[in-house]
Amino acid sequence: MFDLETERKHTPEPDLVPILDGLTAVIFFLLLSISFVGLTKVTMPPSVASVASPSKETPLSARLKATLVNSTIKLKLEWIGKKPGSIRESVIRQNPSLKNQALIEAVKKMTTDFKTRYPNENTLQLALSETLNYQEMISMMDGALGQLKDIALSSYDEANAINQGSEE
Amino acid sequence: MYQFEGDKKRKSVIQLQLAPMIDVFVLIIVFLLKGTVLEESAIVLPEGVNLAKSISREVSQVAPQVVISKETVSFKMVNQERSIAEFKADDFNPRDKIFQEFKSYLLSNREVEGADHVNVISDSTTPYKAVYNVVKVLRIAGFQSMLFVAEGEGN
Repeated sequence: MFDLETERKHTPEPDLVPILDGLTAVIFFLLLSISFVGLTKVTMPPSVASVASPSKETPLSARLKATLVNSTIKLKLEWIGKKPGSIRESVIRQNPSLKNQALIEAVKKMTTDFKTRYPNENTLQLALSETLNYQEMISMMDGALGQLKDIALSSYDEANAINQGSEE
Repeated sequence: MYQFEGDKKRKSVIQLQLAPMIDVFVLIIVFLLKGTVLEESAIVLPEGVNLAKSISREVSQVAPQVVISKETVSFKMVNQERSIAEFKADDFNPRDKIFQEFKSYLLSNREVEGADHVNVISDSTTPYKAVYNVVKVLRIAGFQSMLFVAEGEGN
């Protein structure tokens, strides 16, 4: 009799602790599954009929050529277009398997000079003579990439032409 | 009375609360699982290849690999290995069967992002001529972009 009364008075209470723990685990799972995507909008202006003729300007086609003469790396940055021109530099070749800081600085200087003249130009063709190596190619890219983002490789024949006098 | 309670306390057995402990462990496991980034393994350098040094801070991307060592050129994506002498010469056979292999690879991976990019990993002393000729072959085969791998110095 006594036991029955106590059972009736006792209100059943759910054990909240494991439920809360489970919910926290689910919330964590969902939170970590979220990926945020930045949506942008591009508003196209209404099309306008243009009477302007397409640009007839010759592309600059900037080319940086490097060739090895004795123990000197000769550099030549040339471009065509309305006002063709070129910049030359020379760097002493050090240990060819190590990074050549002087080469990086020389290329940086040349490309900076070019970029101040043509701020909208971003393309450079790189040509090294066949005796130069991968490390020197990477060093030249390091020097150029600060100014010109699009670098393409050109044939070693173009760089060799500097030595053969046709480029002088 | 106090004496009695003290005795009760002394007799109580310490029980390890397993439920909250397991909950916490589950949380940690979920956190670690979701935080894991599963990507293809990074570049594995073969012995004897010394990477070029670079001041660039760009991080390498996951892409098919071509390894140019002092003696061989290894096209990892098609499991082909060639002598570097083939690329030091001026003309690489345009009818070489490797082009067919590249074509099949690009065709079967056309949906995969970055499959038409190539990580070119070369020894620092490899002549430019060999690097250029390898790149030329890859470009003719249809690969769109070359990523030249070097060892960053964080300069």
